[in-house]
Amino acid sequence: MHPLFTAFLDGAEATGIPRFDSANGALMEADSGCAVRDENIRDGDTMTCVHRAETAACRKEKLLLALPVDEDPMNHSVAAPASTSSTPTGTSPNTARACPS
Amino acid sequence: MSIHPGQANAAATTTMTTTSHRLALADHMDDGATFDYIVCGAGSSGSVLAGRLAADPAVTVLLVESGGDDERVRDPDLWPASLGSERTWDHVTEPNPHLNGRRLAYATGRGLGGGSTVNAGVWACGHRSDWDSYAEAADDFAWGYAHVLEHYRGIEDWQGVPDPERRGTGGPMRI
Repeated sequence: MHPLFTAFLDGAEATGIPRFDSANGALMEADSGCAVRDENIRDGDTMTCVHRAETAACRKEKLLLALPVDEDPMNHSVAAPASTSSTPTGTSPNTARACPS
Repeated sequence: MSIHPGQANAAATTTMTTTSHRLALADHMDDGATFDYIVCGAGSSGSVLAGRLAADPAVTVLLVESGGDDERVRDPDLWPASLGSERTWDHVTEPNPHLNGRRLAYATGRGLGGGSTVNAGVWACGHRSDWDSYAEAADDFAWGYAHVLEHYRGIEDWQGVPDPERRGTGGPMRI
């Protein structure tokens, strides 16, 4: 844990805020408290909900995902030009993506 | 007509040779294409809902998302780079008298994962008083803390100090 977390929680505790093992669980039933945040991590990678949905859906190959063409990762690099944000998505033809088998 | 996954996968195969993304371009979506379900918004709720629906091999599902997918979406540590970009809806709160009238930036995600793309991978289940206030407002106990907590327990694979009354183990989300 980063020392900043520990120092911050030490400070909070010193002011009378009780410390908990988790930011969820018992703290979510308490009047006040402090804790290190919980994170979604598997195999060192933080998980997003869409990761879960893709993983589940790809096994079944039944889910299509529609994104604006100008937003699709296949069409531009990570450093997307700022102009994409000003393009009205409603005028773009949609492209469907499907899970590979 | 409906889009058949087999057709889509044929197009996806060629695209996948040049990308590491798990999803690839399918063939175009024909005018008049039909689906059993259309889920609007690939956020935390929409993604899971679409995934659950699509787990039934008898149905077709279309998940529509106005944002896209890139490194800022894939790597939760990059979430600050999404703020103020095409990856967020940059909402602001109403002026708050307790904050000297200031309006706070309150962005939501615009991309695969929705709000979860700008929450740094944090797992936050919500306070009992919040959930119980939802139940009261909706006049439906299902929104209440006790009921929602059981769902969270089913989702979690909690790795911290055991708390079997509140935390789940063996679920799909490793916390």
